Amino acid sequence: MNKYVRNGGLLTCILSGKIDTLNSSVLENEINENMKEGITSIVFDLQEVDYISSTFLRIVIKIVKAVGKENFAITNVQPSVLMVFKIANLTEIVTVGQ
Amino acid sequence: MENYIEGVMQDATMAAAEFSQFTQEQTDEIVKSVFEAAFNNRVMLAKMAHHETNMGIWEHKVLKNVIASQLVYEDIKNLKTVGIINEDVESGIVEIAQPMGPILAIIPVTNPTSTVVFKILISLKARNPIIICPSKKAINCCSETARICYEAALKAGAPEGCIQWLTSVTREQTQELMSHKSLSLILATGGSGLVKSAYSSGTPTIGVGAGNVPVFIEKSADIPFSVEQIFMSKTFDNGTICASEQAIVVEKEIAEKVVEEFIKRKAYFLNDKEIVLLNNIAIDTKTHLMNPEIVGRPAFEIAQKAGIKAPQDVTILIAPIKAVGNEYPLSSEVLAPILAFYIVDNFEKAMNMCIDLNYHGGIGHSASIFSNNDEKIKYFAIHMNAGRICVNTPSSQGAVGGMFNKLSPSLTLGCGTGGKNITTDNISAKHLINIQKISRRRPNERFVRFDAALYLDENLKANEINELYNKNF
Repeated sequence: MNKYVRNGGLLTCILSGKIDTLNSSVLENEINENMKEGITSIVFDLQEVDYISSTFLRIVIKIVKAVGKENFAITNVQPSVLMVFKIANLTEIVTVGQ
Repeated sequence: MENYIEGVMQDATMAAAEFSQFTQEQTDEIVKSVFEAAFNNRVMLAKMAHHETNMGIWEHKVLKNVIASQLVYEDIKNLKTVGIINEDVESGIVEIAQPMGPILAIIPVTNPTSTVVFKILISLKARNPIIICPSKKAINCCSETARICYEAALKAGAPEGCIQWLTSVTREQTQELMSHKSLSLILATGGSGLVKSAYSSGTPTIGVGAGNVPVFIEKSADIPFSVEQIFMSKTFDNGTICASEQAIVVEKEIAEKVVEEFIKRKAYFLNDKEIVLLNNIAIDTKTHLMNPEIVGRPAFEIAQKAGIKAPQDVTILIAPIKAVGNEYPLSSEVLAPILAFYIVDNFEKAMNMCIDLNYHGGIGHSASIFSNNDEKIKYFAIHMNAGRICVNTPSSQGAVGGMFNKLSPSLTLGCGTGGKNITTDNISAKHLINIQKISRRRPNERFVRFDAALYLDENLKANEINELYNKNF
């Protein structure tokens, strides 16, 4: 179950499980619902995520384009997920941290 | 326009990233689903290819689709391509398969739908997304093949964008794609210009070379059987397979019998005047390359075009000629039911003729011999610069593999360095994985115990060092 924590202008999305194509669509809707007025930056916490789909990667690209690289970060990635970001060449456009 | 290529590559890269997380079981499910879809559409796709390209024979294209789906699937289905694929406790070496990443597949007009199916299956088996770049003369049938495969792949859970196909790209866009930094590999099956341009892109490329397959019917061969095999091979899809026989070489002792067997099968032997007429339409005198307009066309139609009065039911046009070279145009490769024919005095002369043919535009590709003399078969093989030496088999189907021998069924035949390729293998899924090696400590005892300071003494020669290095204690 994904959790969304708002702290001022920051929205932290604590995601969990396997983010496959189907879950990615659900996730996109949830993020859109939580993107209330005043949110200026977003963090994805992927501590509990062990699989990400290409659809999720596309959502990441969309968010970067919408809020800008400096206002978006991905944290707490597992090694297997970090590898996926590397293969997708996304670590150049998104801050992916441990 | 630049965005289009970027978009294609971004989708392929995302698909590669997702694919890298798939297990062997998930991967195998996808490959099975694609195989079934391609196989179930084999006839429709063959007819579509025939209609669009106006080459070959649709029934034979069905068989090509069967080779590319059923035989390729049978060959690769149990291959390990994910995670640990080999573990050797004694050597301490463990092999791990990793996907390569997005692959660009160049598709030739001669075998369009079959090559699409083949390349998709081997790429997906190795968890690589694939981008199909069809010949301009086969865009519709290739796109439909790719679409059918993609739909089946998605149904089995494959990543979005794992199969893409290009329906209209300019030469510049193809170049841009070939040299894109996110592209991992090019599978270049096509003409020499295209293969060269793929090699020049800076992206690793598995290419192919041109063929010019000599066939030696050695006197110990079963002649009716040999001719039947050649006949079946050369008429297959009107000779569009690059491993099809190009020239027959026979010793004069058996020549009459060979000619008789060909005539029985409605082959037509040309006289000198007719050879000149055929030269004019078969080979471009400036480039010395075959005329695309006769590729894959029936023998009768080619004869008519050349002004040769051959019977309507003619199967193959055979040109008895004396030597090899540009002054003998039909000694070059022609992907149509046309054969050069040489009668020579003896075994040595036959060998020399085959070597000349092999080196006349077909280095590294394939050669064929019919013989029941094992020594001569080996002698022939050693003297051919060819990745595949087909023995007592039709060379089209023999070189492609999986039907008459145990070669991996493939529609991309490596031609070694002679053909400017990196391998002589029949390309398959095993060539599309990166293999990592875990190498556990297994010290080389002789090296470890050897006093390395001795290497610094320049007066010690190889034999002295070797003696100390190999000494038993």
